[in-house]
Amino acid sequence: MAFSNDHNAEQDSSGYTDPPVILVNDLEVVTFETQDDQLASENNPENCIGLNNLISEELVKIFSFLSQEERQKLRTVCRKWQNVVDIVFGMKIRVKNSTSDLVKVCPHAVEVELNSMTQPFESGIAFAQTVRKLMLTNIVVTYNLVSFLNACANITHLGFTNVILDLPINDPWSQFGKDSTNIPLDSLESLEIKCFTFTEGVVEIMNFLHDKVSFKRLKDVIINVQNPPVIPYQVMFQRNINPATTHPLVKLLVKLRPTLRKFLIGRPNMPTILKFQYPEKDEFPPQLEHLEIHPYFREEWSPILREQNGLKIMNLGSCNVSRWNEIQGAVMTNASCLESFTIGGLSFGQIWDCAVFQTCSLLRNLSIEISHSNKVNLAMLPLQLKNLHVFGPVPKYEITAVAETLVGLESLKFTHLGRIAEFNNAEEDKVNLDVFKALLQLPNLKSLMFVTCSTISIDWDMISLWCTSVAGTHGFSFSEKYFQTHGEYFRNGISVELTDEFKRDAFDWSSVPMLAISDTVDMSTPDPFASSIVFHVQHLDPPAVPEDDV
Amino acid sequence: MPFVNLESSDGDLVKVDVDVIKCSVTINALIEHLGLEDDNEVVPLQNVGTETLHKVLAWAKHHKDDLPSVDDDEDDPPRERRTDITTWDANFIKMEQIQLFDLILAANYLDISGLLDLGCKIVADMIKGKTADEIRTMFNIVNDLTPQEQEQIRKENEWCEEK
Repeated sequence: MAFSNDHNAEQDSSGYTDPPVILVNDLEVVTFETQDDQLASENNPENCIGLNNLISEELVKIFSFLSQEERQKLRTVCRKWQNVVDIVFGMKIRVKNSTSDLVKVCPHAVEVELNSMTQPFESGIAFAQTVRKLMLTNIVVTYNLVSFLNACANITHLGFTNVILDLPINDPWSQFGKDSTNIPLDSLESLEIKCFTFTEGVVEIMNFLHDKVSFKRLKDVIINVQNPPVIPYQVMFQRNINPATTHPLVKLLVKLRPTLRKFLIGRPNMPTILKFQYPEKDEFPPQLEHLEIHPYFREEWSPILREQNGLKIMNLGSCNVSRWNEIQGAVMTNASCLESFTIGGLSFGQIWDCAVFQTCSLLRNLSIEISHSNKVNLAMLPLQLKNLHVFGPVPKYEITAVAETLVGLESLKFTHLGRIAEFNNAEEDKVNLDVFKALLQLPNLKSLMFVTCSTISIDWDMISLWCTSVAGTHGFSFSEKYFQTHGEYFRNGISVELTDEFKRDAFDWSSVPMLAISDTVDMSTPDPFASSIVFHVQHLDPPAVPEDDV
Repeated sequence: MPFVNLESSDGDLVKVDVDVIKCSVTINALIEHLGLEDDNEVVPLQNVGTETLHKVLAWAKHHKDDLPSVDDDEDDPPRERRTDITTWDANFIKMEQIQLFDLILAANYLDISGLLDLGCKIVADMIKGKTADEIRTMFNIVNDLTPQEQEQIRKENEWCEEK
């Protein structure tokens, strides 16, 4: 032990500035230089007593498996560990009024959170050169905003969380920064605003950033907010705008147009995303690569689609029937690059014709979630399609055609299959076991789901019995979904998963179960057919239906 | 099948199937550099003791078929390679601390990323949730920070305690 201590002391007294560590750039370890002789001496078996005999390279590796918070706590262990954390990973600090002296004494901080700090700082910011990520939380006073942004010119990430911009009126600092015209944040790459509601405070931030700050490489703007306002995105695609009448957010986005790569706004699970192609010189209007709109696609945004020809991902949330022609036109214009397309909405008896995707040679994912709309020409979908989700009525012959043509499918899902009004003989038009088996024989299929489909549209009894009877097959597993009403469980969904172990060619597809069971299941007594089934009893909510889009 | 003789720092010779030890970038490079063709040639490993070498080889033998090639590794961000520890690995890695650190040193020297990840992950798990005092006791580390420095760190770390 004593030897170990001496060893540590010797190493530390020799100064940590020597290699084996470590060059740092933006929190990433770029280079290690380990000197062979040092490695050899540390590796001497006699020295291998404690963790601190591991060279810094290995400590770095160990620390990389910890969270930022866990790493930060290790700074108190010893000087070597503190140095490894500070120099390789960077220190995070939180500054508020009570700890404001940290501003002057933390030269290594790479991540700084200013939390409701109302004491003014104009100079003497110790981490001005090292800080990369500056986060402002709760109350932000404009004089501090100006002085910190001016001093910390190397930041790559700027964040505002639940910020109220405070503009003090009656103190001597109140006018500070008021006349700043240009704060250059040339390194800034990412701007993130988190707030529960989109408030005046957020608008003030937009105005401030637009009016007072200049950017050279800001490419990501992320706004996490529960209630995003309706943004006139189409203005971003116009050559000239009128600043007086333009929404502050759009003004800022237009200012960022030369470098902007991704704009995201909304709830984390349901965001609106505009992702641009890398801007090329003189290209106008800006070209999108990924357009995702939630909760619904508005009339006034339609012009955006007209001049896009590089869209890879289109997810339009819900959409009114009246805009279908425009959207189908965009599909055809982008046919050579479109990889993923999703549309939702209600249509009441209209028809969505899938032939529109026929020439989409790269299309991999397609999700047509229009309810009350008959989907036709599913067989004209491109053969390389991998994932297909169809929501709403589909006639049986269409499903049969899918089984015969779409050989690239890996996952296939039907939701709310419904009944097709034009057919009278309900029994004959049900998806039966033969169709079900035919789908499973698609050569690449790994997942087949029928969800929230009633006995009107699918022959649950036979399909369920058959699945039960073949459930022991290698690579074949299935689960059923039920909904409960009046104390009874009704089957309304089934999901089959196939792994590579499932051998289609060797499988006996001709087997037919001989028994019939009721489509209601008494969950209180053991079901003789259910012994090998895992019951997934759950109620499936239909997707949210937009309110004003009907 | 080609074999290679590895010489540990204790001077012991261990004959190994080249296929087993292909996970080691260092040994691959040495074999290539020394141009070893004869089965009786010796690769000296000055930094790996016999006991540790046997452990490394046991691990390499078990993993000889599931390791991705080294070239593939380079492109993956480290985070994606952090998969859960398998039962075999968990049992394998149950050893004294000293042996564990020797193993990590050896894995680093021999450049076996899978084994290095495993060892470091285990040590990281030992560290998680421990206080600084507990860590110092566990790993036999002396606190060489002055009281003033500790007070400063306490202030800088305040946010960790504030949740």
